[in-house]
Formats: sequence, C-alpha cells, structure tokens
Amino acid sequence: MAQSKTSLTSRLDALFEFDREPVTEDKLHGPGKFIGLFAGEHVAATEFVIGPMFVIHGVAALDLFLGLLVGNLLAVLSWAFLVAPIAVRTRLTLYWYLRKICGPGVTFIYNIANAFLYCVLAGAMISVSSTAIGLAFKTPTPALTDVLPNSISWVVITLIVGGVVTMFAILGFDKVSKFSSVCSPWLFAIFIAGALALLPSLGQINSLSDFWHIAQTKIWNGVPTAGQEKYTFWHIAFFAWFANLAMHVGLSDMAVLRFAKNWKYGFYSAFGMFPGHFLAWVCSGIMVAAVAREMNPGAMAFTAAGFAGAVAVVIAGWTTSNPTMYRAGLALQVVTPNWSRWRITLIAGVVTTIVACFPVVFMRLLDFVALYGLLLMPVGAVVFAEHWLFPKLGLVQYRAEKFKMFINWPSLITWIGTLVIVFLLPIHMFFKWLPGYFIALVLYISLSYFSARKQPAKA
Amino acid sequence: MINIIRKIAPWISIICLVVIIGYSILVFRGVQSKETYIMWTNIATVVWFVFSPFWLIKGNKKEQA
Repeated sequence: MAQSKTSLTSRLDALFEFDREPVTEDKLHGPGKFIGLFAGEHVAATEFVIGPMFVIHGVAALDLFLGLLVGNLLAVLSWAFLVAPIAVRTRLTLYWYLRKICGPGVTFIYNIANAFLYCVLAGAMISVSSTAIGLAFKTPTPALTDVLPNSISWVVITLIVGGVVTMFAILGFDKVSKFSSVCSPWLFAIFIAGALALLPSLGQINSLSDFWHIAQTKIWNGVPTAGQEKYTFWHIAFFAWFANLAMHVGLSDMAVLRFAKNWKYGFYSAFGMFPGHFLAWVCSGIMVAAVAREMNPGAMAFTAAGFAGAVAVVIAGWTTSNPTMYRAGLALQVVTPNWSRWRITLIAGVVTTIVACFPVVFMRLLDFVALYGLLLMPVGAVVFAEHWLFPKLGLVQYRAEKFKMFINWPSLITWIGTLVIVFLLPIHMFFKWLPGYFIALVLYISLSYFSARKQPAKA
Repeated sequence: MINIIRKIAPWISIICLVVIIGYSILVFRGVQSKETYIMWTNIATVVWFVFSPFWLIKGNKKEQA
C-alpha cells in the first residue's frame, strides 16, 4: 500500500515536474501578455451557445445587461482579489500548492475529477462544431430537450468531428494552440458583424432607443421558450460570475497569474470578460433572436455571416476542445503509468467523442458550467483558508507537506461534505456555490483545528 | 519576399477585420445588401487566415527576429 502511494505520488510529480519550482523574477511577463491571454481565451465556441440560451430562457433586456455588468465585474474582482494575490505570493501552480496543503492523494482525486469534467466540456464543443458541419448534410439538429441523439446522421457527423479533433490533438497540441491564437481576433469580429448584420431583420433601428425597444420586445423579451425555465437578473449575474469559477474562485488560474509582476494583473481579466462574456454573449443572443430562437449554433452563424460564420463555429469548437482534450489526457496520465501521451489523448478523445454524441451536453451547457465550477469550488476555499486564514488563526500551515501526509483528511472531508450540503440546499443550481464557499471555509478551518488538536505531537 | 509579407501582414490582417465589421455596419444601416456583406466576409476570412499567422504565431515572429 505504502509502495503504491509512493509510486502514485512520483507519477503525479513527474507529470508536473516542469513547473515545480516557483517562477523566478526574470520569467515574469508584462501586461500585454495577460491582456492577450485573457482576451483570446474567453471568445470561444461556448459563446455561440450561452448568449442564445439566455434568450431562450426568457431573460428581460435590462436584467441581461445589468446582470452581465455586475456578474462580469464580480468575476474580474475574483481574479484580482482571490487568485492573483495567492499566485504572486507563492509563484506556484495550483497543483503544487494543493499538494503542499492537501497531500498527493487529494491532488490525484482533483486530477481525475478535472479530467472527467474536461472531457464533458470538450464533448460539448464538438457537438457545437457538429451543428455547423451538419448544415452541409442537412442533418436535423437535436431539440432543446433532447438527451439522446436524434438521428444516425448526427451520431456519424459527431463521431467524425470528434475523430478529427482527437487526431489533431494527438498529432500536435502545440500547433493547434498556435492556430487558435490566430483565430481569436477574427472570431470576435464575426460575433460583432453577425449581430450587426442580423439586427435589421428584427426591425428598423435609427437610434439607441430603437435598439432598446427591439431588445426588449424581440430579443430579450422576458418570455422563455416553451418548457424552459425563466431567468432573472440574479441568474445572469451569478452565471457571468461563476462561468469561470474553477479558474478564479477555484484558483486554477494560479498557473497563469504566477507569472504576473503584481496582484493587480488580475484586473486584466476584464479584457477577457467584457469582450467575451458580455459583448459576444449579447451578439450571439441577437443572432439567435433573428433566426426565430432556433438553438442551432451552426445554422445561426451561417445565417449571420455565411460560410465564414459556419467556419467560425467549427474552428471555435475545435480550438476550444483541443486544449481541453489535451488537459484531460494530462490529468488522466496519473492513472495510466507508462502509457504514451498519444494513447492517453486517444482514450480522452474516445470518451469525449462518445459524450459529444449526446446533445444534452450542449443543450444543458449552462447547468454543466454551473456544476463544473461547483464541484471544484471547495478546493479553492480550502486553499484560500490555508493561505490567508490559518496564519491569522494560529493554525499550522502546510501540514500535509510538513508531515508527509498522503491525504489531508480535513481537506477531503471538506470537499465531499460541502458538495453533499450544497446539493441538499433547496436553491437553484446557479446560486449553490456561494453559500457552499463559506460552508467549505468554516468546515475546513473547524476540521483542521480539531485534527491539529488530535495530533498535538505532530503539530 | 517573405520578409515583405511579414511586414505587411499585420496591416492586411487589420484591413480584413475592418472589412468584416465595416460591411456589417453598412448592412445595419441599410446601405449594403446582406449578400455583398457575406461575400466580403468570406473573402476577408480567407485573407485573414493567409496573412495573420505571419505575425500572430509567436514562432514565426521569432524567425523574423
């Protein structure tokens, strides 16, 4: 048992060996790098789905604009005040910091959970791409409420798209990631152009008040599509805030912000949030309203920008799913010793492609995004408590590292316990994470306090 | 030749974005037809993908240096 733990620990460490040491002063980056990174990362295939979903869920125009403003502002503040300060103080990735705090056992579980979530996310992106490819073959797009595939041709197209994406991920992740940097500015232009070109089909606009009238009556008119739940200001604000919860509150963007010169660089996330999670969502919302609220990203983009629009959906899906699949493969590598990278990526690709065949993953994307953040949020709370609150409360930091623990039980119990409690809370999925975060903080501090008292010799 | 392309590539790429957004504004204002906008968007897209890798992909910029 002890030997298998050591073997698991060494396999995990070997995977992340390249970023084991804290970033040194000479490797820090300037503002331009962060602006580009955030701006590029947050204009992706998901934006073709999220904006339209708000329309379908019957959000009112004022609720949408105010909700996006408040939610994105809170997201930027979370990057600036939660991730960035810890990242620049430690100069470590979340993996290595988590290992110090929770032990290799918990980092292992974290990796597996992440791998599974990455596969589902990449699967959703492949589904989005399939809607565009399907246009050429007149494949019926699944309905909003579909869980299972609705036709053989949908499955065949999704399998082919998934196969191609997997092949490119195997052949060279690096090249695709370089290619995606070329796509971002153009993709953003397609969002804006598509919305502007389709606006006249909703009514004549000669002034801002004309636009507002159309926005209130034809786009975000407050009436959900039949069978869909109605969203309010709070749903939008919370969604915009938690859309990247794993990255900010969950602290996984420590990997990026550890290269920042100071914590204020967290504010540069605004360059990703406001163009991507504000403007692009508004633009795709306008587009879906102009195509009679049909949830078909491929057809919607084709109507808005022709062949270039359909290509935008395919490329956005491909460039988003590719790194996600790569990360899933990396995370899975810990359970498959001595397997080559291509084989792991192939397994991740097969899982992802099978997931992509089920339309529920992209038709329920908003719920999945909420679930994704929720599942990883307690880990962020544990790290926050250990980093900031333990010294103030006189608790010993980094006990897992100091006492060579395989699992820091208070952290694992906090993670599982918080999730059980929040799933029992009788509130909407979008709102569960916030009370959950405070529950995790209190739970971890309490459990760590009692754990330290129980083992005074070690402490 | 390749050096000249690298020098002009950023400008051509920017022009492509201006064409895409510019034509959509013309459609929005009712000055231009949607078909013309789509044609120019397709052309600008092809040109964008030909020229933007010359300056947007880091490795290519290093080669230039």
